[in-house]
Amino acid sequence: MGVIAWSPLAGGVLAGVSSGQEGVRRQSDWSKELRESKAAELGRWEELCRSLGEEPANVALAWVLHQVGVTGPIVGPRTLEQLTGCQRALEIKLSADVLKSIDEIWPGPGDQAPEAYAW
Amino acid sequence: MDHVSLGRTGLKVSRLCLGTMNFGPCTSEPDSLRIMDRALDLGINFFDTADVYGRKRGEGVTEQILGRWFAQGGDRRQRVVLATKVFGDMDPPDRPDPNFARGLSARKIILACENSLRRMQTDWIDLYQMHHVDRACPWDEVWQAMERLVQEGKIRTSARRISPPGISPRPSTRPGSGTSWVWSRNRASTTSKHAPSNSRCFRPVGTSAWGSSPGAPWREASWRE
Repeated sequence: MGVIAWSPLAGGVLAGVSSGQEGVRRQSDWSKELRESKAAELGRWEELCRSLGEEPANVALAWVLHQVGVTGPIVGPRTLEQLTGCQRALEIKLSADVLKSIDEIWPGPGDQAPEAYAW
Repeated sequence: MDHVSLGRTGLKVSRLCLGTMNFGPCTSEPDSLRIMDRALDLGINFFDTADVYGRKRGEGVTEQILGRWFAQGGDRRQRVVLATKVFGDMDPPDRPDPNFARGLSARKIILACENSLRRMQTDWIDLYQMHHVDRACPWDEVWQAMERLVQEGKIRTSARRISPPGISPRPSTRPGSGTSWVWSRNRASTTSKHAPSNSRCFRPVGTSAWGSSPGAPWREASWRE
């Protein structure tokens, strides 16, 4: 099985408000709506990333890379800096506790895939 | 950069895949070319695009940028594992054509593939993906087109299929595939109350668990054949 995760940063939403980048996709209606509806979770998420001393975008990519059976995430850089920055994700080791915390912040949808969360 | 097998194929890809959706619509062509060069320098050999990327600016704008990058030579094409997609609207906005609209008819797949090859100035696509499912098209027709493309050497890896539950065809055990992949994508967007993430998934036919991204639904959701 080869699994490729697309939009691993959810259009930049998981990259954190503190990063100060005004990405194009971040301006889209769905990402704005997502940021609003998930404000509490995003607060916890960014706090967790701060405690790790890592950029939220890189923690999100590292999370994908930690999933068994996943080939990797698709990173869609808009700039050269975004591309080079994401290399750090390959070096981040997330402990079992941190992975558990991430699951608590972002629980899976449960139920039948993919209708539980798509289509 | 670590390289791993793409599923059970022998193909080795970098763990980070370069997505190209911004190239054209958001990122200028010169910057896009620089990003691709840098990606190769970093060991990222897996590039993902789609025929519909950049569509608002013209036909296959993003694929065209990849094509001009490959045309610079330097073994750029040989070094890249190239993935693109078929399904979306490719008819000219001012001249709607139902056979170029969203879908996966054999005619559409074959034409779309040839057009992608032309735009990307290459003879082959390493991974040809269905961007979505065409519920109106028989799977036999989809497979027939994909197999033909494999036999013609236009796509390197076997046809894959998108498989939301309830619409799965019988498992493919056709020759030339070796591994039969199921491909799917999820998008947990504004309509979802759950993980703010999207993913694409390949899985061999016959297994039941698979994944998505943050929120770990692969552990909690399952597919049915």
